[in-house]
Amino acid sequence: MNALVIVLLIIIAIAICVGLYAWLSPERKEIELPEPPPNEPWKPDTAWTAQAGEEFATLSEAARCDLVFAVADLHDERADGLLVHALDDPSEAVALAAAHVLEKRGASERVRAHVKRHPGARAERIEETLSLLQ
Amino acid sequence: MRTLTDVFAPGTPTLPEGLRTLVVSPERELEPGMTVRATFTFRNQGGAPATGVRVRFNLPEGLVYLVGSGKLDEEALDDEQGSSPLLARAGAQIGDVAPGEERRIDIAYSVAGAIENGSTVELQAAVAAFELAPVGSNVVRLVAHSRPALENALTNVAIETRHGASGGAAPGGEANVTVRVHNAGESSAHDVVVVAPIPEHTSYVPNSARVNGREFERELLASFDRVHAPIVAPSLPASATVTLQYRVRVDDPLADGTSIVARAQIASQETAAFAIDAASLTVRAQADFEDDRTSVTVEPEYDVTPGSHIVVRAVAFNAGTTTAESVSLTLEFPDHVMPVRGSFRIDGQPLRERKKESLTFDLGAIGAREGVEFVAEGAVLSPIADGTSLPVRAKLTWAPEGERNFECSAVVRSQPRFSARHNRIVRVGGSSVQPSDECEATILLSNDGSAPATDARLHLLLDPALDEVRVFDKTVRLQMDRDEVDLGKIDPYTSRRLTVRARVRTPYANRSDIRLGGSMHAREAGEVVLGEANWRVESHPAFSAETSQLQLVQDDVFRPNQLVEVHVRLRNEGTDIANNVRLRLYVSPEARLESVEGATRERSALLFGEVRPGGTVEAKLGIRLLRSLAKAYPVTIETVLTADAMLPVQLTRLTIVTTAEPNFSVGTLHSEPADVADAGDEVEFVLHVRNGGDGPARRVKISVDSLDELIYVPNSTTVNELPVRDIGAQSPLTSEQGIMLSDVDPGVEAAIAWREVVHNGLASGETLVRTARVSYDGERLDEIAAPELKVRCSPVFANAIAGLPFGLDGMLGPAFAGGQRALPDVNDRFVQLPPAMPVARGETSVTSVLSLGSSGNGHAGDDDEAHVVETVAVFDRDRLDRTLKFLSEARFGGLTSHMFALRAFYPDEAGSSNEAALEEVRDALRETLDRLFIKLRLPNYVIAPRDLENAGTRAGIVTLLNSLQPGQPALSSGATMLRGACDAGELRALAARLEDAPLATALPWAALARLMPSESDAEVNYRRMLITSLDDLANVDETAFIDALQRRPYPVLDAALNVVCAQISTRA
Repeated sequence: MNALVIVLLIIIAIAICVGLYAWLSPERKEIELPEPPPNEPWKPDTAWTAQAGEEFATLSEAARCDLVFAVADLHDERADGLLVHALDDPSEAVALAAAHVLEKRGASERVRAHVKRHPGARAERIEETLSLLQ
Repeated sequence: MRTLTDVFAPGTPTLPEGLRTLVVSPERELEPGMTVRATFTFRNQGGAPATGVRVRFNLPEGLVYLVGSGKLDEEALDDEQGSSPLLARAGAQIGDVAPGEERRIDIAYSVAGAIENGSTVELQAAVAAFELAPVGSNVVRLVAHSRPALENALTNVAIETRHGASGGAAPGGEANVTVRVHNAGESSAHDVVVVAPIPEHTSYVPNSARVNGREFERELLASFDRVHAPIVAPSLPASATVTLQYRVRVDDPLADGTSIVARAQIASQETAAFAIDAASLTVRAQADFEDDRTSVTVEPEYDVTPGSHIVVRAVAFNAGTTTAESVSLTLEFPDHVMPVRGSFRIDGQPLRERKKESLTFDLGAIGAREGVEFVAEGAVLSPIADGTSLPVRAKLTWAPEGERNFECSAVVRSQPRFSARHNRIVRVGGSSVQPSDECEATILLSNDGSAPATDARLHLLLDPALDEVRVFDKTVRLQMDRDEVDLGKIDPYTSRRLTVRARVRTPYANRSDIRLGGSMHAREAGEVVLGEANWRVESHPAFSAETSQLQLVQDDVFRPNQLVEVHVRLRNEGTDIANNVRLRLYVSPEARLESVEGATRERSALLFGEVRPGGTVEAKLGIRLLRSLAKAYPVTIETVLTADAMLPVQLTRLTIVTTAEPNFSVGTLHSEPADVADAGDEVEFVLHVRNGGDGPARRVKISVDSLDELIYVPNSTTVNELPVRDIGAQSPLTSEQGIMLSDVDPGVEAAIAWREVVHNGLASGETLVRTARVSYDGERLDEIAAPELKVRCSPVFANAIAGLPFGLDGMLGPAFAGGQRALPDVNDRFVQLPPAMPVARGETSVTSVLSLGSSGNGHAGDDDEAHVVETVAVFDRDRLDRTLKFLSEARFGGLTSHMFALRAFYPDEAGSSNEAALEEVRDALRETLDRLFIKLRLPNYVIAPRDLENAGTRAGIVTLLNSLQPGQPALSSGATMLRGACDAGELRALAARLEDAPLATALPWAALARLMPSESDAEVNYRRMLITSLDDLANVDETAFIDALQRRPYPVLDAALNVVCAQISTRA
């Protein structure tokens, strides 16, 4: 065993000791993962249509559904935001349409996040229906 | 130690005199305006230099620094802000002073303009250094000499009114007297005395004296006008002014131009008395008749009646301050007023009568605050219109150059007047008239008043007996408005004469009085009653057969026992009331009077009582025709009309046409049994006849024909259950004379019965018709038929009958007629079939649907394999579960559910075709149907055409159908595989049709239905039914297709889909 090997072994031993100390040290802090936002009771919101324009402020249930599908063909961030807001529409069918479109646009995680944040029977029904349409 | 700043401060003692080097010129006395020069020198007596040396002079009261006069060692010191630094509090810095060095300071003062006489001025200088305390010079004291000067231009006296002196003073007004004393000297004046007597023609206004604005009498302790020479100012400083002011009232009255002069004398201890120039004010006075006390009035002002007098009263009061000379009054009367001679008075004294009266009157001179009253009268002339204003103008003139005009007026109250003596109605002609005669009266109208009567209307009080009323003004007929005639305007002192003609109404009651009254109404005069004219009527009643008669209410031919209504109408054609009107009736014996309406019946007479002229009375009579009526004798009613004061009148006889006849048309003939009789049975016939007419039948013959099919039963004929003798072996009914009934009254019934036997040789089904004939009164014949009677017989083949020891042909009776089955009920028209299997849609079971399925598997035969496109859809467990759940969720009713089945079972591969086209249609189908699936969750959502298809989807489907190639798909793995097959040619044909088919119709869905799996029977069945259903809708428009999608029920198809789902689930 030559001196070089010995030096390397010493360095390795020191590194191991430092690593063990760091691992076992009481001052070691756990890596804090960002906490998801707390669950909130779902609140209906019909004002999301106004984001598309003032002229869309008061639409019927079916018209809001059509608006969601119309927005589905627009590929921009603003449309995504509108669709996410449409998830809070008091009409479950409209919210389902928004969720469906978001999934089609590849934003299923936003739908899942919304469902998780507002758990309940409504969220369950939307989720189940979405699974049927896959 | 005092500093240089502290020295010369007010109230501080002077510095000790350390240096006696201050020299002042002049040395002792000074006068206002004089220049005082001061020189101060000092030497440094010590051995060391004095540093920071400062020099300061004082500035005594009464002296002012002469600018630029400050000098140091003959060199001018710069002044600061108009003052020398030598006079500053810190003094003037002059630098260092070496030992033995001498410095000289010069300064000059000017004596102030006003300095009290005898006052002392002290001058002193001081010097200080850093090392030395202030050292004062010697003090130089100067005495001032000065005196006041009261007699100057500013010392004067003035008198003026509130409006100034130029406007003059008015008698009775006030004026201010102001005495100003100004001291123009250098010193004060002491005990200034002013003598200011109250000017002539004025009087002092108590407590009005003021000295410099403050009350003066308090200091005097007496009234100002009682003190001759008061001291107005104990001390009047130089350049000061004292003002004495008081008010005086100008005497009133006072002659115009009077001058009021104010004088004054002034003196003081230092000044001898002197008089100042007097001031004057001229009085302006004039006569004045402008106030309310000078007036011209008319009495009375209102309701002045024509013919009366009005009084013009003029009062001239001189409210001025001087006498008015040569005052005169001129009157001007209107046209309708005439001055009354001798009525003019001045202050109550009548003026002298003059033949040619002038309306200008001399009132003489009127002193200030004196007045004169003038009175004149005028007579108002008539006629004159009501409300006319009578203006009276007056002019008052006086010297010098005074004039005032007046105008007053009186309003006339003038009215028309219609006196009873000149306004009345006078009858023309005699007082007795007959109806239809003409009456005439004259109306006299005369306006005695002084004003015209406007809107005059003549109102006639017309008696109802008068007709055709006409009013004439001379020969002109006036238009009448109901009972009124518009007369318009009637001028004063004019007359109108009107003629009224009228015709006496006819008829009219005898000895009636006719009155024609009248009144006239005018706006101003009101109602004027004109009285009335009277006539008396001579009149009598009268009746005639033309207007008084009896009439049948219904013009008809009447039958016995019938009630005939007769209308009685009586008209009084006379001109007087008919009393005790009575109508005697003479009725034929075949009738009797049964009822009377509208009159009182007294046996055979009718009492109507009173009938007014022209009046009509009516009554309705009920005449009952008796049964004994004979056709040939009509019923007649004769009448005689009587009344008081009238001759009897025979009215036209009334004839009532009558008729009566028997009638046997209504009767019955029936048999027992009624409808069917077996051969050999006995049949009883009963004939009911009744005289349904209203007349008796003298002779009635009843007969029937003898029939071969029926055999009479002897002695069986009865009439009303009384046996009737047969004629031979026949019934008398069948004989030639029949059964004869006589004197059959109306309503009498007869029942004839007889029995017959059906011939047993008749064939079954033969019909028996029995008819009875009823003839009466020789000319009437009625037939009464009985219902048809069928003969019933039964066939029989055997002739061996149990119980008989022999055979027998020709047996009768129903007992032998067996074997035939009749309908269960005569009313049953159809045979009830066993109930069929219900085909209710909602109750269709799975098994029943399956039974409808095809036995084949849907695959094409081997011959067609070359054209077959096979399809396959592969399902793993998860997809299958999801698909089945999706289908269960997608039950929206109608055909919509099956569109989702097309999505669910859409093949993953089809034949050997291009997968891209298949994938494109799959995606489009899923996108379309997924959105529809979501929308259908909306409540009451109605499918729109855009929800079903668009041009892109259609193009994809066409492409797919054209690209599908026959063959088997390569995909062959999976948990569950659903296979299907379709004909490629059929798909091509559908694709060709799709090119022209409108969007949102059934054809593309029908094409896609061909791609459904068809492996099992259930699948084949469902596929076939779905294709059939969609093919049926292929030619309908989008509206009908959507209606089928959402509203039309498809229970069988739904059930078939259930079977497919169940089967697939089981297979998996």
